[in-house]
Amino acid sequence: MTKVKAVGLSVLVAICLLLPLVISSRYWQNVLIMSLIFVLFATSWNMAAGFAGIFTFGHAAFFAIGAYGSALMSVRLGVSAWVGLLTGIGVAGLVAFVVGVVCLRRRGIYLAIITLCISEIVYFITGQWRSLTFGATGVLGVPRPVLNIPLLPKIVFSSELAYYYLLLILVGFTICLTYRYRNSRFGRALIGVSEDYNRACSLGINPFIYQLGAFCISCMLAGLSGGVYAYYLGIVVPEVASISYMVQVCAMVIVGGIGTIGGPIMGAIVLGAVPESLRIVGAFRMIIFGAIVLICIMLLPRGMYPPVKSVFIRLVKPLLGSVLGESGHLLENRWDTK
Amino acid sequence: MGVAYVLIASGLALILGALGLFTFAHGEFFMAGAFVLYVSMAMLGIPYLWVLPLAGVAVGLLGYICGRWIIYPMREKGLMAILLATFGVGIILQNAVLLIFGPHPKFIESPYTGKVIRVGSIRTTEQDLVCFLVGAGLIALLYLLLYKTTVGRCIRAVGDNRVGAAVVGIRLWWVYGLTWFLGCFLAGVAGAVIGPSMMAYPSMGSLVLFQAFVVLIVGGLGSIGGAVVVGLLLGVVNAVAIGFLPTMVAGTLGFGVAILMLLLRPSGLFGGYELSG
Repeated sequence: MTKVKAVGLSVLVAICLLLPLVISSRYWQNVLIMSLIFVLFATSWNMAAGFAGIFTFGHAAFFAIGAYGSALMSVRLGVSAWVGLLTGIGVAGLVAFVVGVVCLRRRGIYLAIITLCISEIVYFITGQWRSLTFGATGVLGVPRPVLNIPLLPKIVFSSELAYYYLLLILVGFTICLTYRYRNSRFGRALIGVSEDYNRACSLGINPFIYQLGAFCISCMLAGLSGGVYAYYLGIVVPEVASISYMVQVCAMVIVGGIGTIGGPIMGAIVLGAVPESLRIVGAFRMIIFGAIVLICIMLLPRGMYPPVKSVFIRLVKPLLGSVLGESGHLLENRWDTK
Repeated sequence: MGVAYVLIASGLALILGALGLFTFAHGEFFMAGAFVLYVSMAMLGIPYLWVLPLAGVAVGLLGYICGRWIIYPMREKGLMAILLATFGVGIILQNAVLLIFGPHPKFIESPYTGKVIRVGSIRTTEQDLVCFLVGAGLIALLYLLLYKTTVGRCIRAVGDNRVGAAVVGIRLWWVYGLTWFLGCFLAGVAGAVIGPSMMAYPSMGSLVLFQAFVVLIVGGLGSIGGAVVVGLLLGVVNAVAIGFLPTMVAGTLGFGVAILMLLLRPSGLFGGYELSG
């Protein structure tokens, strides 16, 4: 890691850490937390769609499975939130494995429709299976997580501030994971599969195994984001499996820049926070959301992140580099702008 | 309801077959058709049978705008971007209607609702009969247009090979606009014939859209004949299933069948297009 990068990264981390302290209103902290949850969710979808070329439209189903899995464990069995989260992730991964084994044999638009159908089925089941999921009223009264390490004071994540930091750790972990994932042999093989399927096969990569692995990891992350969503709001309703969540996340990833690490983060913040900050009544807000999506897709085919990044590399990096006595490398990380 | 599925699914099949893309805005166009019906009947007092073509043309024009100026410029941008763009169109349309008319379902009275006809032991309302006749007429017209006229040949040519069609002088933007016009015309009329028996509200489109997807998949992607047969079948199966099976099973049945179909025989019962990738 170069000095420039290290400085930039630490500035970014510092901003993230200080942001909720500067913003004191609970409402804005709430907006921040929801944005972070969507960053997690968007990153998970990007892992499947952006890097591995699995255009699944059923990620909301795994988000819902994670949310329901965690919430039901906590409400019905009274286990701690951490066990609940792990259960949610595990169940999401298990379902993803079964779905993946069956469905990843199809690609492209077929896969998109199959996964869409699966998420509709999950939506129906969560809404109708009253004896397990409480039906359309949803699971109420999910408790906030409590961290109880021996020798340390008990931490209850009941305030927005505490939950924000918890999420920040998770998001940081996820981003590191994505970074490792993309730059590993596994990730490079997947990018190969998504760019040229036949060529990747001819090089001895079994696309099915690789995509199955990527699909499971991505769905487990979606389950994790569903779990933290459930513990944050304290309520889970069947609507989390509905298509509108899926659309929002797709929009975030594509508007931000699909196949990049920063894109989903940026998209989630822009599409999550901007309509919120405009503070306009429901229907009108959705019209603005739709308009932003349309304009971005038509004008910025690769999303917002690559242009922003190239401006950053051209202007900020040499400036920072000259201050630190180092030259910025223009061609570094060119995989990012794929 | 079967007729609505048939009309919407044929519109989808038309767009899919000619342009190779799905649209998630179709349910919203259906909803727009029902609202055109509401506006012109309840507010302007235009007789019902006149409203049907009016709804079709009005919604069709919306579709033309969408196809010509939104979808055509981004035809090379990849499937996911186009899908999302149609979602964007749908969101805007749905919320615009919500903003103007409010969320409450609008009851629309047609001169044919409530009149019961008996043929032997079969009972039906006149409204359903009108639905059926209009649907059958439109599908027949669509067939004639596609297979007997130059325009239809252009649309099918673009469906077979877009680049080749452009090379021999077919204006692509025009075919995009026209196909969207026709697809949305069907959805608009569907909204207008179903409107009186379903009531009009802003979110009515999504449920019908998913059923239409199932029809499209089981019938064969891009096959209009398949859409007709399976659409009618689904209308009947739904009506029976709701009567005999628990709601959970009945609701998920269609999607389960669709998944199986895609896995085992992706070209559907009636052999539509095999889409690459």
